[in-house]
Amino acid sequence: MPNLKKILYIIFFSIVLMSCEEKSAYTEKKNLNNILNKLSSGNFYSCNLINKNKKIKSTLNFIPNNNVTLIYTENIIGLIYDEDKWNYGNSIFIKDIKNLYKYNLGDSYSEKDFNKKIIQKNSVLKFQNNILSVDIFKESIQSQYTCVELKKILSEAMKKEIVKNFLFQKNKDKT
Amino acid sequence: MINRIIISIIIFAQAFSHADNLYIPEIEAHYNFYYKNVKAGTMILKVKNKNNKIIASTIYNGNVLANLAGRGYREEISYLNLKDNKLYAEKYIFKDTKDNYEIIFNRNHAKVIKKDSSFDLKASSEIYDPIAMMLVLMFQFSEAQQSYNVVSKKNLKIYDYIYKKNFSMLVNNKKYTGYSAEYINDYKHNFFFFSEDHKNLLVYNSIKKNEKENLRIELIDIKKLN
Repeated sequence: MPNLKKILYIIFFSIVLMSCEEKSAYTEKKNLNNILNKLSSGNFYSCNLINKNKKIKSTLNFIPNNNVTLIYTENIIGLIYDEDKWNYGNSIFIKDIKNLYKYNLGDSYSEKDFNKKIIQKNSVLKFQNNILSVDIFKESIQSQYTCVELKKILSEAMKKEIVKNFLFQKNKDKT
Repeated sequence: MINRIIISIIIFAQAFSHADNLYIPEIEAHYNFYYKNVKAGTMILKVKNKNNKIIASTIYNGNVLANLAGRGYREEISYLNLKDNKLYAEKYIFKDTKDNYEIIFNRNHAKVIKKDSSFDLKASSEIYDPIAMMLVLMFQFSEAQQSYNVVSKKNLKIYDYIYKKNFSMLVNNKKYTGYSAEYINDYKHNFFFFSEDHKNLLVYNSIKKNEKENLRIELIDIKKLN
């Protein structure tokens, strides 16, 4: 009988331990920290620009990023790049409820915590069949990328290192 | 009269035999580099030659993946001296996001200088930095030795090379003919391929560990080679 009690205790504590989700403390900003934890368990992609058109700079006055790192989860997408129109180096996009592959730009988190309710519909991202389309320079002018999933390349520690890029949204805060 | 002509011929011949006929071209070559087979950024190789003083540099500009491979941003500059048809390393500067140091060479002696410390390295023969070593393989291949002393990441290493001549490789969908040089260091297999049709320019470099590719560099464009 005492043995049965011990076994029950062990089973109970095992269930409790298993139900505890492993969470990393990236930042004191609570909402952003939750988002970053979700991203670190997402799917990581490296995306390269399709059709590098040198004329774009003269006609549209911006140069698209050649390479973008995309982190995919079902409801949020994290993007890491060199530059956008706000001089940011990364952004978080929230899934559009009405469109399966469409994501809208989420709140800024450079100076305050991320607010999931704030959605900026002036910048849109689409990700379907490993093709990324995103407009982070001019509204409705999409840059297209082909993406490769970094499945076996990244260890958990590497993923966390990549996610740490979101701690500094503004490029000037990086150094 | 005949004696004078003979003496003139001898003097002319001697002067000619001492001329530096090892030619180092001016180079600007652009490369893609891949981390574990995924494109991670670009590398630019530049070589300038002014009165046998050579300046060679490589600049890596990479993405998030390249950062993980330690090549997000890396700049290496090597200053070499061409004397008696031989390249000698004189100075080397290394800069990346984490480290910054300089090495002053004096044949078989090298002084590594950091911001607040310095130390000496000594070998039994000539010491090179990685960029100078690459230039030696490119331009002195006909006299290549089996082993070289190279300072890599501030440590003195001996690289034992294996060379293969006269074969072709497909790089970035283009066929190149040339020779390769390879060595193993810290369980990593380093392989370099040079194109004989492009003045022995580096075309391809790979670093493998346990037969798995860590890093690969492929030539994509030659901006200058003359």
